[in-house]
Amino acid sequence: MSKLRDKQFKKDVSVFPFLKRLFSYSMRYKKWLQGFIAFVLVVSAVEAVTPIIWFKLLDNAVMPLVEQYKPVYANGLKPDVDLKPLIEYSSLILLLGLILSASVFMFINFAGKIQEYVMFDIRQELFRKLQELSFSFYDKSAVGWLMSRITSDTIKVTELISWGFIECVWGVGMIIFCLIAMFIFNWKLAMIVTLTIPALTLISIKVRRLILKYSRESRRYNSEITASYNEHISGVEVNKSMVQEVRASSQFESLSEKMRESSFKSAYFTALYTPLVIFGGSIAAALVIFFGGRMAITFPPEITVGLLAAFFGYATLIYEPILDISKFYSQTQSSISAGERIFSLLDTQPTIVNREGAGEFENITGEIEFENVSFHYEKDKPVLDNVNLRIEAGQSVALVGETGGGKSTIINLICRFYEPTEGIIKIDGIDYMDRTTQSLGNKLGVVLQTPHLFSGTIRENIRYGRDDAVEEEIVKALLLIGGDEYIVRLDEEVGEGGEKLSLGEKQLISFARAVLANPRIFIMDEATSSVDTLTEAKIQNGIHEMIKGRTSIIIAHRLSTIKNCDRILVVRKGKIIEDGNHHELMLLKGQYYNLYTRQLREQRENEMLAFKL
Amino acid sequence: MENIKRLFQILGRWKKFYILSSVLLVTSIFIRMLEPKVLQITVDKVIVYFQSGGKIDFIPGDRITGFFYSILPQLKMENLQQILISLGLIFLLISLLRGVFSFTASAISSSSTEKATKSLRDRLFSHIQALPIAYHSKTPTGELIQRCTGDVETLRKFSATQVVEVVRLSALFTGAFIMMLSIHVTYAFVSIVFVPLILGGSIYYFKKEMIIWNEHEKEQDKLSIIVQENLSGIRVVKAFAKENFEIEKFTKQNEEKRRWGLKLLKLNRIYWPSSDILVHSQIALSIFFGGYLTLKNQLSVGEYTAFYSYSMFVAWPLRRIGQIVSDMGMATIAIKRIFSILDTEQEDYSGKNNEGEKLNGEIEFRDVSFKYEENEKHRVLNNISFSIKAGEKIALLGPTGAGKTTIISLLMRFFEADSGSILVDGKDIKKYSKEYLRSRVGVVLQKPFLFSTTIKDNIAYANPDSHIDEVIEASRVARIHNIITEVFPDSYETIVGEKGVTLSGGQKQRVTIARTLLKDPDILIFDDSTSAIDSETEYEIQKALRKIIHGKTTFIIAHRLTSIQDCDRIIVLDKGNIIQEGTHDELLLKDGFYKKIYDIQVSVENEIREETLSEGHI
Repeated sequence: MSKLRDKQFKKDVSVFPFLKRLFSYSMRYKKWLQGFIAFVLVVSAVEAVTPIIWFKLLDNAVMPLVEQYKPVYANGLKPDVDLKPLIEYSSLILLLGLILSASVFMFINFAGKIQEYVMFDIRQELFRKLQELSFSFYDKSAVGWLMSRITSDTIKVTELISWGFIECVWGVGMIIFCLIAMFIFNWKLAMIVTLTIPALTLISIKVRRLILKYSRESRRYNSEITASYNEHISGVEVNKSMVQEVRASSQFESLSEKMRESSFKSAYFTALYTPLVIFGGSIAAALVIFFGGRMAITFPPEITVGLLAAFFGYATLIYEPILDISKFYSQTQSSISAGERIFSLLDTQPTIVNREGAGEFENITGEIEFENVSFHYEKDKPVLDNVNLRIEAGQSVALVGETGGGKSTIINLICRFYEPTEGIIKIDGIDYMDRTTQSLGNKLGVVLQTPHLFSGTIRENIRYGRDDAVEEEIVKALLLIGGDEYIVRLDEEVGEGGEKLSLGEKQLISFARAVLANPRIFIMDEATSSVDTLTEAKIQNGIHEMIKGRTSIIIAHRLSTIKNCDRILVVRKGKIIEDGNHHELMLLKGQYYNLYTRQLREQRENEMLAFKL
Repeated sequence: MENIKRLFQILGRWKKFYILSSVLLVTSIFIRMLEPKVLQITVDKVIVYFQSGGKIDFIPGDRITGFFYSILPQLKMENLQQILISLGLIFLLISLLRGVFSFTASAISSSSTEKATKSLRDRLFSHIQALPIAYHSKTPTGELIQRCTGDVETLRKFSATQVVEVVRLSALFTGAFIMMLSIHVTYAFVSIVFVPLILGGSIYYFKKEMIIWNEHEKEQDKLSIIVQENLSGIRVVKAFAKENFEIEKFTKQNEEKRRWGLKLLKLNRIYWPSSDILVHSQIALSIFFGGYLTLKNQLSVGEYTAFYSYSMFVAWPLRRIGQIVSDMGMATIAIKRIFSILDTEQEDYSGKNNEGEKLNGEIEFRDVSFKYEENEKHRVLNNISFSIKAGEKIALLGPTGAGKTTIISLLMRFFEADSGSILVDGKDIKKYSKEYLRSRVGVVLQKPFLFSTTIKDNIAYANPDSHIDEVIEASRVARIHNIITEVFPDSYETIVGEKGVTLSGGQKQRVTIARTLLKDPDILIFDDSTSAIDSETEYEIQKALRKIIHGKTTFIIAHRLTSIQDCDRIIVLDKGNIIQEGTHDELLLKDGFYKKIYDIQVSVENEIREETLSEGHI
């Protein structure tokens, strides 16, 4: 039923609404975000200032002294070298280094915290939302698809707003501080360097777009490759029996070739990008040498040697922030789809919500009534068609009929996993939409067809039925269904999804779980797959005990279960076509008679074949 | 080290391109080393000369500087313009060359990496296809896929970025160091005194980081498992109204994950600033010492500026070594895992191919014994012997685990018998090549598996060149033609599977029957392949099949007696032994398993009759 429906999101979703929403998460930690931005700016400021310190050092601590000592050395003498200014400047550089390191410490700290806390928050929100969403949502969404929302997609967007954002802030800060510094010292040379910025930005956007295009393409091929591996490994037996190993491999080769091409193209443009931007910076540096050189030799010099060195430094430096900003840009682009997936999940509205002012079910007797209930999953395919049904408190009802006839839907509607599209369902005479889903859930004990356990011990799994149950009650529940042997095994771990237990064991435990809940209404979708005879007998016995004195609705496959029930409903094409007890329906010689006789035959044969002679 | 060798083995054919790329990269870095020289000359030669009014002409200190001097226009007051233009052009030329070289190097290495990755992917794919069924039955699909995708990607990233990075960093370091040496030996060494510290610190840090990272990943996995379990059991959660309980459980693990994330952060916020401190101390020291030397007249101002640039080249990249080391750790693991697949021996496909020849279909099992695992207690087949004449129709009947499917697997040579021999047309099947044998034997497998492509391609899977009429004919026999044309949106071009139409179990089985029929085999096997098809359709299929399978040896494994009643012979198996053999009529005369099953059918009919009658009288 659950089919993968990976929604195709639009390629060019606008960046700003996405970023705005994403940053609303880091805004929750305003102090950290402010600290983060502040310290990254400090870092970029210090780094922008460094060339100046360097030129001041040259101009103040080195050049004059060199000039001063030149004649001394020319005479072959050794002057008394004054190291004080040099020591001062070196210490200043060291001090700036320390400030820088301290700021790095701070912003790593803040960015990391933002990352971890926002990741935590988004995951909490997603998980809560997933608990709220209704069955109809789960029918359409594959587990793996939802999983990656919580795992990889969350990682991707939090990386963007923490480490990715550092690059952006640093880049912007760096450009601004460099510009300020340059314009303070020499506006002419500053203009030369500034002019390269728009050019570099343009190149960045153009090339980055190309890279993005091909990396998207290669990601798409990558998932095709994964699918191909999956398919041909799962179907290897077919390939071998059809002698198609070689053909399958050569088909795969043409796919991996496409992957190689797009992957290479993306790498090619990446390889092109950096040298291109660096070359742009070099043009600025060459112009600085030319114009700066001329300024340095005018008399008196328009600029000092140190300043020339500093501008040379700026010109060869300015491409770096642009590289970083463009990195942030492409990281944003490639995170958008992850973000869209997260937000679209958060925005999904659960179809089943408690009505405003809905009360609680307290002590109920368990009478169920369907009044003109119709239901469909898809508009033009009715599943239940105007069903009227009254189940007395304490009555046990078996639902039989072909798959797809509507049996499971009846159960799903009673549990309010879905709500009727038309009509009313009453419990103890009250429309159940006027009560909360939780209070209904507390009155129900459900055993599903495929037993699902959670990792943990057997005890924990049984206690899932009722948290406050004491040990005695767990033992009693096990005894009721003939699970005596589990009493000593309560501390056993069941493994992920109960993988360490056999199917029969899982069924018994999920049964005990429902028993422990001591529900007024017991609902069971009997498992179709066969378990060993002993377990089978225990389960049968357990069902027998369980339905005593409770309202029970069972989708029954085994004949003994069917016969044990007070009432049998044959459901076909969304309608109840036969209603009565075993005797009555056998005499009718209708659908039930056919079904029963056919099953009896098959069951006996299977028993013969599946078990010991 | 072993793994590095294997990495080179994978890169294999493209080794020379990697070498070429490295040479180009090194060249580009050495060209880059010339950049600071331009400023040095500008300062030392041009500025000093012109400022002093043409009096001071600097004498070149090293060969590279000397080379630059020789290509510049002659130093004259009136040449100023030309000299500066030349310097600017030289700088641009250097930068251009450097860019071209580094781009070419990257382009070559990434092209080689992509080619090598593609070839690795292809190799893995075809290798996996050729691995014996025994391997596949033991190895989870998910694990194989993870290795072919995740691990290959890790390796690709490593060879695309880090292998090149190692070359780049060592060239950068060596180049800058050589340049410094050529200017001033002592200064050069002073400029790298902190290097061992930075290097050692990085490696220490990344080792430590790996440990915490592993723990962090474990917690992350636990979180994933909780989500996975919750989502696959969401119906239970909702049925018991345990949403809050689940949220609590998730929150606890989410907090635990965050705790480890913050631990990792603690390590990071110590490492990066402290390595920064070391780098800055190195820079400050270099600056001070260089200034000192300049004042001592051992270094010109221009040389000093060049030195400054070089010491930057040396210091910063060092911090990245640690990253490379840790990536190398991950790549090593990936290499190990990939080779654990590639080192597994392929199936033996040798033997005569008998192109185009047909088999008669005589089959004989002589004392065949088999078990799947060496240490299993009971044999799956226990000294089985039987022989089948060409064209016979044989049924295999027995409880689950009796060995029915195993007989088929041995006949297909998916597994080899432990002892005894299997003969086809009087010849040991080991004498045929697997390819030939399998192409002549058509088996409809127990689990119907379809590929996510069109219905037509699925049916024509073994014979992709089949004409559509042949495909339709096979579909007709398998009673699926009407469904395909009437129910499926694009008829035979309908895509099935995840991306297309989902077929019911019975529909799938019918498509696989059609697929096997179209293969036109000499021996046909139906392994419980009608279990999801209703009796009426099954009967129709059988009727239609009769003509096709006439004269072909046919095996039918089925549970319903009606499916096998008209077989020439029925072999009843239990626990790896043949317990009964004969026609339907013969077996009914003997007391045994077959009769018991038959009796059940009869007794069920009687029971029901009695039940309704007696209840009718109440």
